[in-house]
Amino acid sequence: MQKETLRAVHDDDLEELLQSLGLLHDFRAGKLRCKFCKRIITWDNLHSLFPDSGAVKTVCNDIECIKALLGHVEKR
Amino acid sequence: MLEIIKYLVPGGSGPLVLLLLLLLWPEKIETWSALLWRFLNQLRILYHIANKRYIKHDIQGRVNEFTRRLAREVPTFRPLGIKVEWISASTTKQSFIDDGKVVVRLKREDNNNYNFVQASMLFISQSLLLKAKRYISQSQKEAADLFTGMKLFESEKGEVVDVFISDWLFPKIGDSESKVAGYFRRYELIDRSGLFFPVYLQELNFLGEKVFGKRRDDLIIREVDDLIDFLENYAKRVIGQDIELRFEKPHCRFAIMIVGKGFKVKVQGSIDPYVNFIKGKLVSAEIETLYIMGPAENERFIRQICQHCDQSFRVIFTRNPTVTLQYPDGKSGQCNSHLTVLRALECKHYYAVGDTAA
Repeated sequence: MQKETLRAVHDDDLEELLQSLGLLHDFRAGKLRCKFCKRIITWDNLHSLFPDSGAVKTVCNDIECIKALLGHVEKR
Repeated sequence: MLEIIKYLVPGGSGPLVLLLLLLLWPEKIETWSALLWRFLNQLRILYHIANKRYIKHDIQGRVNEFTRRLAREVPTFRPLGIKVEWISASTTKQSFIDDGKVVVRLKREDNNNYNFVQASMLFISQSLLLKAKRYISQSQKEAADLFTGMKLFESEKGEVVDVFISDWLFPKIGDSESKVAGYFRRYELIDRSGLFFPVYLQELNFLGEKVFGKRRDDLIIREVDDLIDFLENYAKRVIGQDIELRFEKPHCRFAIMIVGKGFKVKVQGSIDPYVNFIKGKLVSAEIETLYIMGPAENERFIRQICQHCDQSFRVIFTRNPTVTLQYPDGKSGQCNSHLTVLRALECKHYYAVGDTAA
């Protein structure tokens, strides 16, 4: 069976990854926003990260934002 | 399953049995692996590694098992599995950008329900109707994803269903007037008569395979709406009631043939009326897919019909679903049925330029 890879980050690695991506400071300061709904990204609502126009964007766990992310990925 | 292995390898050694399991039921190995890592995680042994391995194998095992089940329901669905790959925590910004991929956050949790639902729904959204989703409407597609998700989670524990309902289903169909909710209700009805996966999704797959280059347009969206109307009408059909059984549109051209308990099977016992109808009416109408349905006891009779139509159609799929039937007295009941799907040896394809058939 052919397999599609789902890239993932585990909770335990999340802060370190945000640090490596240069986002941890903004995340802690409440300055990181969802690419689609512009809501502030928190520990509770962070759903995913993706590269966009040379930057790393974050997405919240609102279903409309997840759908928007999928649509965005499809268009690329 | 173990009985099958004992039959295949009488007195077989442990490693041989394991190898067979790995080859024949890789998802089971994933599931057992997930259980082992979950156990270690609960004992707080290898705490970090155990939780990550548990999440990975649990998601892979459950989703890949579902995708195999789906492939058994939809004749031409090519099973696509999932592989969870953890991104390194030290990934630099530049390599993250160069990689160009979405990274999903999976939570540390003991039961993995949230992670499983999130990963499954992302997977369904991306893999189901891979080609057809370019042509059908957003609400037709979203409702199909949600309905497929519901069927996946039906066989899971109640807590998984709860997560699915609160995180995915309710936000989309909580407003019963929404388009997605409307499609979802109609898909439920179609599924009761056993037609959602083997006919509806199948026809959308064929649609995706035969239309090239075009983007979403109203003509195809309306055609899919007509297809839903047609299948809904079939699902509401009362036994013995005459309804339209041919769907002849520019892109989808199929027919349902009911080989029931009627006069032609019980008394005449001849396949000729069916074969003549297929060779005469359906071939000349350029029907591309024929779904032959009947009670399970008519399976042999249906097979005979198919053997006499092999100049025009080939069998691509057979199954024995349990379907809900409506009786003339207003009651309904379940029945073991048989379905054979035949595909025409020659089918049309459509291209963007001028939308001409070739």
